[in-house]
Amino acid sequence: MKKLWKRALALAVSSTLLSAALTGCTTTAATETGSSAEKTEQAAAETTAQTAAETTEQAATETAAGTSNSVLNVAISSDPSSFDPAISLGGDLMYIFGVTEESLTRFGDDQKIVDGLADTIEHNEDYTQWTFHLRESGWSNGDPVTADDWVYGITRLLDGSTEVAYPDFNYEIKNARAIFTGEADPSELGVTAIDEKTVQFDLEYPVPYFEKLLTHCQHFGINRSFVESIGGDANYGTSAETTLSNGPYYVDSWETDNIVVLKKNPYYWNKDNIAIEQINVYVIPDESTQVNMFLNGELDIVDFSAQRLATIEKAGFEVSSYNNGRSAYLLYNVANEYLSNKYIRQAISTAIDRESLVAGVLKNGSTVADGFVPVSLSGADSTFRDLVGSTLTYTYNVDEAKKLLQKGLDELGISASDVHFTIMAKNTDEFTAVAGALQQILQENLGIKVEIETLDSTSLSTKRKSYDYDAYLASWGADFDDATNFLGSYEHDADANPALYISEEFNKVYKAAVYTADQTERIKGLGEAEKILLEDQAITPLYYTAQYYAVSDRVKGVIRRAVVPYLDTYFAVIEE
Amino acid sequence: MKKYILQRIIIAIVTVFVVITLTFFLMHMIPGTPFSTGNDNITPEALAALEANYGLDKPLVEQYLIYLKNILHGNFGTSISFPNQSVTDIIKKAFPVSLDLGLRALVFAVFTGILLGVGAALKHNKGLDRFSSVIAIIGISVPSFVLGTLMQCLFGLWISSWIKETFHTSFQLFPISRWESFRYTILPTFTLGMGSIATITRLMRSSMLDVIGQDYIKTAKSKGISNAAVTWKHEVRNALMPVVTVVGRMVGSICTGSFVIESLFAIPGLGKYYVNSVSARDYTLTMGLTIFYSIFVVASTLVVDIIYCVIDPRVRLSGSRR
Amino acid sequence: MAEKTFIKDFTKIPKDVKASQKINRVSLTYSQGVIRTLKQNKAAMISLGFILFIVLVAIFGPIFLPNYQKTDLLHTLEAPGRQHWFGTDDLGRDVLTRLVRGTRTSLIIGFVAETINLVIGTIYGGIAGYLGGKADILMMRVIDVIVSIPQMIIMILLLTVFSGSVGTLLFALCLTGWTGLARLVRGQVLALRENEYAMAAQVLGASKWKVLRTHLLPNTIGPILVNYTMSIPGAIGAEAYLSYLGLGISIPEASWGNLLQLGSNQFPGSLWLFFTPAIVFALTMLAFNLFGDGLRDALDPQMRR
Repeated sequence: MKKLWKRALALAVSSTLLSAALTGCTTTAATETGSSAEKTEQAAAETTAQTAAETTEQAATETAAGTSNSVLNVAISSDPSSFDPAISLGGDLMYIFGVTEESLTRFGDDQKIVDGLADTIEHNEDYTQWTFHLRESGWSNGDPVTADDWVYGITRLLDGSTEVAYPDFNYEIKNARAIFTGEADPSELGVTAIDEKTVQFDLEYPVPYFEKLLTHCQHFGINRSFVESIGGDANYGTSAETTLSNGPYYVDSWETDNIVVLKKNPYYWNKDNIAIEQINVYVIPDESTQVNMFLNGELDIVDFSAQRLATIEKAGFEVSSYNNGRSAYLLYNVANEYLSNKYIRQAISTAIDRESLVAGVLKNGSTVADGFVPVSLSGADSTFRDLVGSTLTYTYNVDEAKKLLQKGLDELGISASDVHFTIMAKNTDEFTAVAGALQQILQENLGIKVEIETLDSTSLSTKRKSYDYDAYLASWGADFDDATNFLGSYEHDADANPALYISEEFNKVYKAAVYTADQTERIKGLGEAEKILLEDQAITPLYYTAQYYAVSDRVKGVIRRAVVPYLDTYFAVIEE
Repeated sequence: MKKYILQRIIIAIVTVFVVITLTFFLMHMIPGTPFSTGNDNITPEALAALEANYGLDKPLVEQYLIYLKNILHGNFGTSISFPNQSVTDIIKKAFPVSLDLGLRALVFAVFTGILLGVGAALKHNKGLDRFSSVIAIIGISVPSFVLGTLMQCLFGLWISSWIKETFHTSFQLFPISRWESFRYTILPTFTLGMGSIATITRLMRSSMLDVIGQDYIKTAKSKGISNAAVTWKHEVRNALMPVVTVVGRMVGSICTGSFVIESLFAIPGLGKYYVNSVSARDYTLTMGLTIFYSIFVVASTLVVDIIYCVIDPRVRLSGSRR
Repeated sequence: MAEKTFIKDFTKIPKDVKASQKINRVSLTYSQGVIRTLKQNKAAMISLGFILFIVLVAIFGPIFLPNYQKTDLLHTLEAPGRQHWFGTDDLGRDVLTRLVRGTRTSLIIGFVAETINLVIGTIYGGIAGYLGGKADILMMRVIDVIVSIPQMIIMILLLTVFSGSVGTLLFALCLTGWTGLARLVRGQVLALRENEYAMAAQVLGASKWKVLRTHLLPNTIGPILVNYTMSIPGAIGAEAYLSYLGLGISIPEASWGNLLQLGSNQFPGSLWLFFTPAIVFALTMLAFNLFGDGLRDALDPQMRR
């Protein structure tokens, strides 16, 4: 017996030697790169602390009596990269904004607008002046929500103090565009704090849907004194510590590319009706990992593509599909030597068999696009599409497509085999598959060579912003429930026109429509503008997307919408 | 011995230098800069400022020298896709996780591999030997991402759901991904260790068989020393030497092997960042992490070599023979 | 009495010098011995058969099943059946056709990369070992440096910069892959150089080149062959690994790597997408390894009976 111990010891010693050798070398490496042992220890301590916290959380979840002390687990597919609403517009982040920030208005438990941080809303007769009276509510650091938050929040988007993704989202506000282009002073902005709790918006033109517009993150309030205390705009939203929330939750911690922990904001006005205490938002890029985590009870909500339907159904979960109000399309860089040719773009649109795409590749309830603005968007009394009808004339017809292509080739003086370009797409299963299908379709029907480049959303947006692509398989979701959200980007040539598309005719028709106060006339006008856009094929609409999702049995009250935020857990409860 | 160690150190330094140079010039073969290509939004002044910030406005040789100097100061630059973080920050945060995973896998692989190897050699051509060859075959012929996917589904999903259904509990066998508590580490450690187990088992087995046939073992046995003592004191100890060298070399392969494992199991280690930076075309991060990994691998191999040299007199005497 | 009987039972045979000098055991040359031992190794022979089968599939398969890029959007993700023996993938491409095509791609990568490594390694190692002295030391230091570079990292870096085509992959694999063989050859040459027969040849006036060609290299062929066989799965595996990272051969081209990647991405859903390439891949890796093992044993005279 004694001998046996000795032997075991000998073995243990020899293996300790190995690990000692390895630990030794790691220390060397650490010092070489300048990270002190102390820091490593600190990191280790943090990890331990977090693990401990996780354990207690788990324990808490398991022993939770009722729903008050509960944790919701959701996943997003890419890191938020910033919590500053000015620069962050990724679809993934919209969920977080939906629960951490509240605007003057917000969504109810459907697609209808309800009061947010403002409890009384007044407007003049022609919808050009809106006044909001704020509730008693607080920022997550205890500061009260004030009218100045909106004056500051919107001014900073326009006066050049920070990088802005879509400044045009505020151009309905008086002088906003002039301020952004430097023609007016920021003090002339049409947002005024009448008193501490009253904020007034003066608009350039009638906006009957202004309440809808306000739900979007480009209209969030920002706490001026907090931004000053962290050393200015550039630091805002770069970490959990430099982010402040006025919504039902705040960002408690953020580990890049790993997890964002949201906790209940104790100063939020409606906190008693928020059931879930904490939300863990995991960054999981891989859809299959997300689905596996969901099946194993590690996630409460999961979005997935059609090929995983059977797996999830087999596991006994109820699966739903919702119309997520997105429109998928090919966006061209008209600076590309082949794609600058209108006939080639028209040929591409005509060559695509959208029926097969929807029925064979997507298989998730997505529908064939007959225009750019998706089916789910409101028009006047009915939906936009009901009123406008189909605006896409270049529908599937291979012979026609070949003729159009020949026309384009003749103009350029080249042959079909010369044409080659790259389709850039997001690296999700859906877009990878659709891009693959497009590549095949264009090669077969037109004989043109197409390459595919799939990228994650961060690099995608970098490339998109710098026009570093030939064609981009894009998908645009409704930031607010109005067609201007889809068509507005193509109007002007300066700011965020994604296709570098310039058309005087489109600009004229679009502008005329926007300045119309009558809702039906306005929508019809926008329909005319859409027709011009699609005649030019600045973009090629493909399909209106639907999305499969599943929710774990313990969570109730999860809301999916056709407008941002697509996922809303404001009303969710956890039933153990 | 001093000469040998000095020689190894010089080679290590030259290697790191070669890697840095190679990385730098390869990365600069990519046409354009991350900011250039036809961006109308950025004013020429802003572009110039950005490029100056990254040192892109200077001649290539000067850029190279600047880069070299920065690396010597532990400054790997700023990531493009995480603009708020320097590459060094990311390394400091993520490397401990990778190291944790790597060491777990290595310790697991070394223990299991040695035991299986010894067992296989002692029970030559019997059941245990067959079993260990099966393990070795799986480790060699199944790529880590295939094995990882299988593990996730087998232990994370299928067996878990079977337990849940059969015993009506909410007990969860293994989590699918992420890196929280011990339970989270088991599947990734196993998957990562598997490839190395195969190598170590095979090596240990052949090394043991080699030692068993030596005369001094026969001598020891004929002196009447018990079988067990011969096995552990003479055979295993002597057979371990080649394994130690291989384990040293394995540090590198375990590190790079963990790239895929980390993305598969969503572990926030350096490998996940590396893979992301590659797919995101975040060149500064790719460059920084490539150099960091190389320094790490070269340094760890160097340390193992030196330790080996100190332990094993044969290396010391024969100098550079390896 | 007893003695008499004894003598009677035995007859004296005259001494036959010729017969006593006859060797009963069949005389075998070295290579005959190797082949005989190899033939007795069942695992190695089955492996060899499998490798030959896979090679034949790679050569002739794509001729019979050429449409590996053909999509059929109305028959996506179909389970194996009469129409598609191994099912279809997410764009309705026939998995069998893609597997056959992928076999060609992956085997080309494996064989070509290792053949290039073989050539470079043998030349480099042969020269270093033969020259000896300072040239040898210098050449070995260069190898020490190259070996210390983590191979996978350099391959990832190369493929990040250049797009993932067969050419780039081969370049990446060969940039650092030849060092193992070079060391091996150099070691063998060094050992053989000291042998009497090499020295004798030199004394008898054979040129250095002739000694290298006719005496030294042939003796190193055994270990080189083993090394070659054993490194092919390494190259094939590297392609799979890089494909998983999105750096290898990209779809719509077919390789085992991107088939495996697609399969594991779809995993618990469409099992045929995962298991068909995984099984073929694993069997091939296994076959090369077992055959390599068998070859090594057969080449080692001590192991031979």
